[in-house]
Amino acid sequence: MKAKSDRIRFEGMNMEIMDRISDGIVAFDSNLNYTYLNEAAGILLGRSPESLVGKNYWDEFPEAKGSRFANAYVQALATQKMITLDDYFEPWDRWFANKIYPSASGLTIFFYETTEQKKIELALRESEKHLRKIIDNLPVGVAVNKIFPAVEFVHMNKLFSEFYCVKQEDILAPDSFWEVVYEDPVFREEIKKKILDGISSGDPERFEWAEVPVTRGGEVVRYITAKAIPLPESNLIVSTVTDETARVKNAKALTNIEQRYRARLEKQVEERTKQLVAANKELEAFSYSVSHDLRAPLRAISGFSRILNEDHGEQLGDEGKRVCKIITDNALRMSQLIDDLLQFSRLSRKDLALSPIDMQTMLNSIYHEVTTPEQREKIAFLEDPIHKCYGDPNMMRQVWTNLLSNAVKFSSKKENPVISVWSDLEEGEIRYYVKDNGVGFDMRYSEKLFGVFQRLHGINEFDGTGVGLALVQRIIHKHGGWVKGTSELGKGATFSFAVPANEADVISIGEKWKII
Amino acid sequence: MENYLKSDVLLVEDNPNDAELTIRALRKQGFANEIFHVEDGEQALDFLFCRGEFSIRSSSQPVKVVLLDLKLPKVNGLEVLREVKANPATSRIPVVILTSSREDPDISTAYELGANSYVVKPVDFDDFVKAVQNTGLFWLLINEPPIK
Repeated sequence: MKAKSDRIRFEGMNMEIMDRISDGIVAFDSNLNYTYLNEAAGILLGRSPESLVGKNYWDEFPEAKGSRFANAYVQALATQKMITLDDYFEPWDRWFANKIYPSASGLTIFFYETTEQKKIELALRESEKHLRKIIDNLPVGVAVNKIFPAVEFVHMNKLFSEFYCVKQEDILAPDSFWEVVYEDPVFREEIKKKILDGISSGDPERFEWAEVPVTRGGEVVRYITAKAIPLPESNLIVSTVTDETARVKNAKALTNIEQRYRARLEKQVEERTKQLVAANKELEAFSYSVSHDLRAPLRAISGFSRILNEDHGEQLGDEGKRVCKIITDNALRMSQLIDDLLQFSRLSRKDLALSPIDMQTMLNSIYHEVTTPEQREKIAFLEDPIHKCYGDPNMMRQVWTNLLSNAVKFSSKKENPVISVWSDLEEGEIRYYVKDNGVGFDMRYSEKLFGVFQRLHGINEFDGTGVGLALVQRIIHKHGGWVKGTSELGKGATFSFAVPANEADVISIGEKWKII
Repeated sequence: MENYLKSDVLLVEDNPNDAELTIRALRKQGFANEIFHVEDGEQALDFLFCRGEFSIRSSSQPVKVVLLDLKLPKVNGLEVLREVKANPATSRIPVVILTSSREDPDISTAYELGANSYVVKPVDFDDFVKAVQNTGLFWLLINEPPIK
């Protein structure tokens, strides 16, 4: 009697424990009628234990028919062997882990829901699948591997082994990577050291090895760039490899093409320079000839008409003498023209000999050169202090000479000739001005002002060959500046010229004009 | 002029017009008898070295000045200058380059070779005459010839 009550008490205690367990416990009889469900089971199944006890499994859960769970129950009963089943119950879209214990009287099932874990697991697996797909389809070789103590691959995509010109299976053995990829032992040691040192240094700048050649049979078959990306908190790294072969080959081809093109260009430049130098030499010889040979006949014309005048003056009479004078005057004029032309031509061939110029001193000295003391008495020469500049002093002397002698010449007929000179610095240029109160010129013809042999006054009004201003323009242009002339007919003229204020600008322009 | 035995001035000038004008100018100054004129470099050298057609010349009677044009047939002016100045027998004779060419290379070369002066023949006759006369005046009257 005590045994039975003890047993009931024990069973009662068991019941209490069983009721409190968070896993579901279900007991069936051999016909799959519910004999016991604990609270947890009720919650998991969504039915109160009272509502199910005594009921039949198949009646209460018809949707279970054909499911692996149902099949397992039946199988367990039949075989009397314990079954573990973790599975998905489709009708409810939930996962359960079951331990099914058969006995003579029926089944006892311990189960719990694993839906959440399963979902996470599935998501993870899905995500892993995606990642794998991405990695496999990147145009980059990717691998995850250990590097210390040996290179051992955890994962590798197709391109990884392809770019290294190896088969996947050939580099799986620990540290086999080096030998299989790099066939030359010397280079292998070199590159291995570089990579291992780079990674050990911990300096991210050293985690990249660019344009490493991979050879097969001594020939370079690929150029690859390898990168290592350490994975934190593990001794794994992500290795990437990209194929640079096309780029390297193209770069080489381009360099070749470039080199050949450059060589061809240089050859052309050399040819042209030779031609230029030759042309220049011809011009030199021409000028020499001109200067020498053209003058001799002029001398004869001038000289012999003089002799005519002197020795046979009486026979000639006044008219004859006048004619002789015309002949001589013209010979002289022609000689002047030749001189001016030669000077003009020589100028183009001359390189600038640059240095700082004290324009003030130069101006004064030239003024004294182009004027006689009598003229200086008459002329009011107003000079402001003018800027220094950088240029070719000889050429600048020519500029001042021409401008000043023009100013003097064209104001010579005035009672009170006034010549003023000043300068200013503006917009990076130094501008010089020479103003006179002479006859001036007609602005309508100002275009012709700087033309060679162009004159705006008759030879009888004012002497001159018409080359002076052309020369000035040539010189100033060589310095990278400009010349300008403005005038009011009868009132005077102002001539201005500018040179770059910056020494460097003058020098660089001088380089452009340089003739070797 | 057969007075080449006793000339003070050797004029080396291929252009007959220039020669005539030069001689005329010198004549005006009074040096008519003492000018000898040759027309090319070879003759100039023969004259100065007393050889060839001038072998009867005596080297003890050197000219007082040579007026030398640069552009000459056969042997050109600079060559003549070089030879004259290189030879101790003739190196002391004053040589005046009288020429149309103002071109730089000639001037410096001439001086390098030992020219005593360089005069550019002006186109203007008056100036030409003045140049020749001043030159003649200087070398023939003012300048002391080197003592033989």
